[in-house]
Amino acid sequence: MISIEPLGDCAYLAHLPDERSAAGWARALRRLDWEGVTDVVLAYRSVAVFADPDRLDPEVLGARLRTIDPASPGPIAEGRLVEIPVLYDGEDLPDVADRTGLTSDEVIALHSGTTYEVFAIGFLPGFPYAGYLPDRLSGLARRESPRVRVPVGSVAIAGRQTGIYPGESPGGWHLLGRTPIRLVDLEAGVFAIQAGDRIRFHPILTDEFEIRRHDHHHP
Amino acid sequence: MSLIVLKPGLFTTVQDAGRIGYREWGVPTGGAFDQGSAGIANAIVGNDPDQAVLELTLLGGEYSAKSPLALGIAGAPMEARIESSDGAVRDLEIPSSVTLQAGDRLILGWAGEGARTYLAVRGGWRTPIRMGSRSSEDRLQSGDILPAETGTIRSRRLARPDGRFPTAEPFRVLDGPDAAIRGAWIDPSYRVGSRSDRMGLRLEGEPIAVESSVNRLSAPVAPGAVQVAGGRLIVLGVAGGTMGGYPHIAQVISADLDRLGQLRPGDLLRFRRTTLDEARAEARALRIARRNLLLRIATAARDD
Repeated sequence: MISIEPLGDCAYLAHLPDERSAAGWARALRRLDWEGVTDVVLAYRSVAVFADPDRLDPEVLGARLRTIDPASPGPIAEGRLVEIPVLYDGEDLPDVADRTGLTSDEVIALHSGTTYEVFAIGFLPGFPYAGYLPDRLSGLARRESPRVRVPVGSVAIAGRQTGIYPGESPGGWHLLGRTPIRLVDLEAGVFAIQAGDRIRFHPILTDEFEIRRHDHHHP
Repeated sequence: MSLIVLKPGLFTTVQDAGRIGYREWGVPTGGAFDQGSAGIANAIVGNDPDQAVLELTLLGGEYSAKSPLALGIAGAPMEARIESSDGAVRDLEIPSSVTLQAGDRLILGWAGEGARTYLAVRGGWRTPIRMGSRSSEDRLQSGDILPAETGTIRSRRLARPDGRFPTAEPFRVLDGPDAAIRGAWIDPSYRVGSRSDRMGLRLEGEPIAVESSVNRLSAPVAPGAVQVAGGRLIVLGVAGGTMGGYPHIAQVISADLDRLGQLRPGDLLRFRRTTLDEARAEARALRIARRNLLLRIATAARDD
């Protein structure tokens, strides 16, 4: 079941039953590439669609959105898979291990042994909310006092989700490690991860981290 | 060739029509909070409405020119004057056009009503473009230099657009995704809190009881979203986040969004529920009226 309601007078918000169908619906809509649609924003089980009313009548948009098949199968059923190399040297790794009753190596193996769906991008430009974590890594509340400065590229977990800090910023998630990959280039407007993508972390060592940190390629 | 910031005022930023098409990356549209007034400032100097302007908030600041600049100023009426190096002082009305000569100082005081004033230059402020826009949330600092074309313009005072800042008029809203939990929030009036900015207006009033599920998933939001956080209303501004976790009970219609940008801390405001048909009709009427007004002003400017 899909419900589509107006979000103000020139946008719509579609609600889908689960994260996967919301991502599929957003991909189907993006592929249609309608003239006048400016933004398709996926977050968990909802998708917002914004249009320029000078180019696309909002009423027409509303009627057209209802024609999208929410169960569009085929090549758009799954998002891209983005590989994220991680040096697991995070400040909170020992504490996470302690609180989950695992060893640090087990935390790393569990965190990097799962393919995650990216549910949303937000809070900061390019910050991916991804999940869900394996049960044994899940359930840690955010830190009581958020860090004032989380290092750029930090890979972190909270609750059932994992995320990556694309730039230096404040943050309350538990830091497991750092990726040398540059996730956002705000000057160029280039972003490595899109909501609806899948991501997989793979552990690297310090040498590789240092080498990859200095080449500015996106994954 | 440039404007020098002597004193930046309370909160001065470079704004334009905003960053379109980057919401999915968590980048808000930004841009001038009152697009209508920014458009008028641009039209006064013959610019297209989307050129970069300075957005001055409540207190304007002091600026000087390295070479003559053709300026247009519109939006909230501030005390404004130009002091020349020979000591001559000229008062400025808002909206108006004026040439700032090399060595002149433009001094902008407090806004008498409204919150945001827009300073345009012919050709636009030439700050760096990021993701298709010059909009920035970084406030200007003393000593900043804003590149611009040299130019002159005849001093002209424009009639104040009618009803620019009727903050007593209710803000019209449509139901938001969480309208079902609305209760009786729509009738009382609210006061704009002091911690209000381009990200959002924090409203003060009777606390609102809202049953919020701890499991509520974040969902996309847009400027004008009325959210309830800790029993208080927050109305999202143009630089607010692209998604939100708070109950989203209503959405200010697009025809009333510019007026949000002219609310000052302490102002009273009320809401009124409207229909989607009315909201769309109002949006269409406003777009047409604005296009005609800007065309008229810009044509007059180019004929000078």
